[in-house]
Amino acid sequence: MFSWEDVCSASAVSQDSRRALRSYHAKRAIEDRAEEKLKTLEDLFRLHFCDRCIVFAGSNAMARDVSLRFLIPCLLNHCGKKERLEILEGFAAGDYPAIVANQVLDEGEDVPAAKVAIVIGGMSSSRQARPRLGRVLRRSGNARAVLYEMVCAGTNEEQRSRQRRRHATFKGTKHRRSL
Amino acid sequence: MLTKEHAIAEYDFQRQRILPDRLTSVPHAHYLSFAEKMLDVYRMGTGRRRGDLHRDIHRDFVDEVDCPLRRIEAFCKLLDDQSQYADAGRRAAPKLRQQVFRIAARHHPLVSQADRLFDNAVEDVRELIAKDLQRDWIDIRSELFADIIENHQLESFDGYPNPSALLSRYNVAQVQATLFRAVSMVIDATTDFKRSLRAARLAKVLYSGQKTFIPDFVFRHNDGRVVLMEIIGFWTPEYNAARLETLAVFREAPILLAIHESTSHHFELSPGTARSVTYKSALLVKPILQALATLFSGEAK
Repeated sequence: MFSWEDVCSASAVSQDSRRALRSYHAKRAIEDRAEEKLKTLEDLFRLHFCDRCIVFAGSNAMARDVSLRFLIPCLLNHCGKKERLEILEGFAAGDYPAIVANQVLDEGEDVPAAKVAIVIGGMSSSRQARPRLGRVLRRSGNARAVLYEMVCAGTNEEQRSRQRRRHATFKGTKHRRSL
Repeated sequence: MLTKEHAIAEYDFQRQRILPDRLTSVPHAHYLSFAEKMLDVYRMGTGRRRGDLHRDIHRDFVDEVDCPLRRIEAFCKLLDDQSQYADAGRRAAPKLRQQVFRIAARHHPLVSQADRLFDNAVEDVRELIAKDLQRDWIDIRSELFADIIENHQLESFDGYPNPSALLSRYNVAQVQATLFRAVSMVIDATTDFKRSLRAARLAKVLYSGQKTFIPDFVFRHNDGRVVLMEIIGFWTPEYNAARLETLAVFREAPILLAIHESTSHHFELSPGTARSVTYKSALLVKPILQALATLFSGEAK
């Protein structure tokens, strides 16, 4: 057994651990940017075609993939203040029915409420999950909010999703598993 | 110039030494061919994306055991430093995105195949946008995220005169990166004292006996006169006292002090001709220009 630190520090001199690290990152990237997620996303957009949706991606690259496929605005770290404001105001006014974001919306951003949040990647930390959940769980009438988590079956993403849900943040929410 | 994210240094705590990463001719002889390959990637890379160039550089090192990731990234940075990336499409990209997304929003959701419920096929909407903006979709697509750093296009590459120049630039850059975090510097000049002094003079280092003063900024008037500026931030009283002592030695020099409000009371008795401006959260240009003007005019008298 090797610890994560062992593999990282050995990667400077050992070919094997470099290969292991590279494969690990490649694997994460494949999970993160799985094409099948875009197909499932289309189904969810069809299902909620009259609700405001926020999509949370695990990486900038995936956020741009989603943005390019559905031609919806993406909020990334490189967005200037003006562009960010235009997107958020457009979303609040209903001009944009859906937006995609990576970590920028996770913390400290004033975002209009959305009915539907779709998490298609990210960390298992509750620090990230909490504000993501908070984006949809706003007191606005009796409306029910939905948060979807999309994971690749048989990968660590399943584990990460489970870990997130175990946290107190998700107390009182109802879970449903669907394929 | 490298950033501290690229810095590689070995700490020898027993002998109290920091050894910045250094490529030498014997154990790293094979790096000359790496350098040649890297230069070729950039020389032939005009029009390619920055992300792709970096990927190629990383690929060159795939089988090299003796090369930490930081070193590869440092090479990419040094190559980028000698490159010009096109900025024509960069400024237009946010506006283009807005136009595209605004049109597409009216047709949400874009489905892969239109059916009776959802008739906005992604291909059709792309065509519609292309028609609206009077451009080909392929062009729109390639420029939509042109402002992302990885997508910047290489316009020209000044390069390095030869592979060994790149390697020696790397060595110097690593030493520089290690010194970023230095708070004071003592130079032991044993054999080539003259040369050290000449270098110090060029860098506007003031020296007198054992004391040296390295200014943070040097302002040069059109007529060649020079004012040195030292920024004094949040330091301990002891440090400030030492600073005052040093400044007293160089009281003849045209020094402008920018002192943070919280420490300004330590410097009320600032000796000699050194003038000062105080600042709160950020150093503002206007008061500095005014102080400079006074300093220059005072000197003229």
